Amino acid sequence: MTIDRVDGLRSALAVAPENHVLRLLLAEALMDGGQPGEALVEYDRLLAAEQLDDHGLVAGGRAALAAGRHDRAQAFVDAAGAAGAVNGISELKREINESLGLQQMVQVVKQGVGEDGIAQPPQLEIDSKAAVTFADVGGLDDVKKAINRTIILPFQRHDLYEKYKRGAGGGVLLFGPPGCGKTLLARATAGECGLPFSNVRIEEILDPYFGASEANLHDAFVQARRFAPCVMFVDELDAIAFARRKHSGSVGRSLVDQLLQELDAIGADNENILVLAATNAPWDVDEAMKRPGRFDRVVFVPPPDPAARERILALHLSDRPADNVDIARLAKQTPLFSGADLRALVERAVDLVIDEALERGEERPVRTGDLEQALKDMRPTTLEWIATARNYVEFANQGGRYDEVAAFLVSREARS
Amino acid sequence: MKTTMDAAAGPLVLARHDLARGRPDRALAALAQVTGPELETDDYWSLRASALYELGDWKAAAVAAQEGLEREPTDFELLDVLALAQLESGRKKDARATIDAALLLYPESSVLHAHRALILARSAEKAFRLASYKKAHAAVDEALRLDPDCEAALRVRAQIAALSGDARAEMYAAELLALDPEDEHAHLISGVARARRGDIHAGLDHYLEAARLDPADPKIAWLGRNSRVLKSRFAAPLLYFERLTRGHVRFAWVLVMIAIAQAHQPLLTAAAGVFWVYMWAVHIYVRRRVGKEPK
Repeated sequence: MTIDRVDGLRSALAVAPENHVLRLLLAEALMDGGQPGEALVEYDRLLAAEQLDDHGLVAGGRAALAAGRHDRAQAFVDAAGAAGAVNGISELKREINESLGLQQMVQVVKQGVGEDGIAQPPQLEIDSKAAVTFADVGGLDDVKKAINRTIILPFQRHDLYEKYKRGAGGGVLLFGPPGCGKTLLARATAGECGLPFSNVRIEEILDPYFGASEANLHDAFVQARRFAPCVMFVDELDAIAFARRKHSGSVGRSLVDQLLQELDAIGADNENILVLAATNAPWDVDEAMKRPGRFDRVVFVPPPDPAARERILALHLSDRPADNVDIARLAKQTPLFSGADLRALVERAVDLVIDEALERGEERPVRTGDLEQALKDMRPTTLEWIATARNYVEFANQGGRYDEVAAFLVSREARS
Repeated sequence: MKTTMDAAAGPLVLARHDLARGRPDRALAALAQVTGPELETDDYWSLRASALYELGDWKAAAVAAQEGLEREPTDFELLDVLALAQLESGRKKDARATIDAALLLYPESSVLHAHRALILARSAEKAFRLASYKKAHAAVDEALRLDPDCEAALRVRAQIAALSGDARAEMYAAELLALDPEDEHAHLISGVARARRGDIHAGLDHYLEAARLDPADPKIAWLGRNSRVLKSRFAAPLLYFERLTRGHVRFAWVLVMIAIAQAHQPLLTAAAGVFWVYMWAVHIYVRRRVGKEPK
């Protein structure tokens, strides 16, 4: 029956090749008949003639997917985006993502020079579904809870949030002293959401040529939108979204404008992109970034508490020969130490043991004393950040932006 | 089209970007990534010298600028940074010589004229202060003649006025604030000018505003903290006395003591003694609350 119908439609089209309704019927019949490759040819012709409505674009995308042509499927999605189509597009995107098998690394395209010798814009690195989860992040329980409530649940309970017209995605800014796990936490958030993770770095965005940096930033967002739902991570946000007030040049400011435009686009027609950003210097981030719809959720990532320090120390000692190290005691002796500081502490202690082994020719495990010996020469690297943060809390907290930091600064650890 | 040189342009571009956004520490970190032939460019040394200068490492900044000038002896930025770094590191004669040499190469540069004015004002010897300030004023006038909107010249003019006790300092600072109400340095100049006139409260307000705008600067934050403590009730009588004497408390205090000694009034002498103790108490109180001025 279907074959007869297909033949009939082909005959009719031979007589009237410009009849787009007939061509659409043929494409649908071919799909029904299990011939997605041929259906795709017809959908492609209709797409070229701009004769596909929302439904047709989605159907074309599905035909492309069924034919194993992800590039063509993406072309239908792009056309739908350009036409402002909404219905069914998200589902189609999801189907494309699933088909692409984002469990593995999807695409890593590095900056390079094209065949024509012209520099290609740096491409976004889309990672696997981030393998890291909250279980891999030591401590920070309060921060994890806050992230779970405000970021992860909207993705996991999409139906519930949609019912209340509360969309997933948006912008979240993590800030805190260096080395305290902001980047790891962002990666873990992506892992908890079960989404692909892309990393945007200032080195990949900046370009000495006029307008090229802005174009690179735009490309990064375009690519992230293609893979939505996904998590986009902007490390060192203050480098891209620097406070324009403090910037002495005029050229670089347009980069901030571009980022603002991209973030605003997310609210308008690019749901399901979560933009996570991290910075050591939230005060250097342009104020406009912190307005609703942009990075409106700001999360303070403090230095690890004693329990977290215990876990971090245990983690760093786990694959090294160690002998009954009193981790709890060390955790008490290392207030304000960041995760990176604790790693450095363990490495220094290990160096001491290695030096001794080289001297005496006798190998022994790391002991509490070695760590305490190494600790004598170390100070937490967070102190400078805390001093600056204290000044900001004292003089620039009129809007209550640094209330979390203020609460941390009056804690026993910070005062010790 | 990118060339092979651009492969190393990354850190330089990043450093320039970091410097422009006021993060010389990051700029230096980016410059540490530069390798190969880029290390021999004046661009690299210019960025390095500027970053070190911004970080307050004057001596290293001067060394970096000199390294760059060995490669490109006529580089404008390097000459400018070298002169300023020499000034800050106490080599005032060298600073004057450098800026004069730079002006021989770029006589139409308003920025160089402005910086020459600053160097002249800052290197004024006590005995010849008035003559130096006069020369500095002339240099800044020349800078503004060349470019009436030159921000560096407007800033230096206000700074010199504040340094020399010129009554126009407040007006000049107000002009800077009109250009950018969030200019912390203009607030500082305004604060100095107001305090000099004895309007301590208004001066302290300007210091506090400067601290609000740039708490990351430890010196400005210290000044802000100082101002906050001085604005407490405890220091109010002292501030009132400052206002009465239009900022000349010490001079007025000597006169009061002489007058009391002449009058042989025990009550007045006791009151003066109490006030003297109170002034010391305020001094100690502020010091304890705020701590030493950061270096």
